[in-house]
Amino acid sequence: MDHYVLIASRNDREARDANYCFELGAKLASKGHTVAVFMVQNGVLTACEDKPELLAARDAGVMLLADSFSLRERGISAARLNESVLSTALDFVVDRLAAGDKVIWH
Amino acid sequence: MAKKPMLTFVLMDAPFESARTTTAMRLLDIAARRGYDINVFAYEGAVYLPFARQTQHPNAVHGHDTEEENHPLPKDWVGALIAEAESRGGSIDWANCGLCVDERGAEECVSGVRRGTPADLVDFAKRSDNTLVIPTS
Repeated sequence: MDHYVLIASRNDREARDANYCFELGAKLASKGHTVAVFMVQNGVLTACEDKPELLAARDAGVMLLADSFSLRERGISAARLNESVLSTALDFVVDRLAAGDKVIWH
Repeated sequence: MAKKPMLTFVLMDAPFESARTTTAMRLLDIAARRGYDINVFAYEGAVYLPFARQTQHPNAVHGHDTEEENHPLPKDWVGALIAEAESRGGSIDWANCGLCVDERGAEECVSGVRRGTPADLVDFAKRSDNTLVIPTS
């Protein structure tokens, strides 16, 4: 089984396909792959909501992460995050690249 | 001692237009500070990231002169990243796609950036431990 990191840099107010990351993540996880969705830039706005796609990804076992810098830029405190989302440094992406994960920017 | 990672980043966005550029630079900065060997293949508008003729400017709306405005320039970020990587025992091999450079007249680049071809991207990907493509939105 493979390890995936899907980078979500947009939210569904600016791109209609923005939630595809969560749908793809859920499908990959349901097939036994290890998946993280890393939200960055305006993608972190999704981290404050109860989008069905986000919750479905969580229920499928996808790790949900939001870039701490992008959150600070937008004045979003940890208290506003969906309880399924962890605030995480961008170093995570470089860690996973170095480890050989399949990292896909959407 | 573990083998030092080599990572390739593929950049597409032109400077001053997208938050993706900032995130790309942040990723490069993290890898550079770790002393990794880094390859960058810049194509389309991204070939302007290291363009040497970028200049700061005043901002009349804010009443700032050039020094007060202190507008950040991506060419300086590129130069700083290359220096940072070298100071940490790593490297950045930055190749600007020559076709994209010619189309845009973007041949004047900061030191450390070279002209490349799509074949460089293939070579980078083959030699690297991993490759991240950051497409335009």
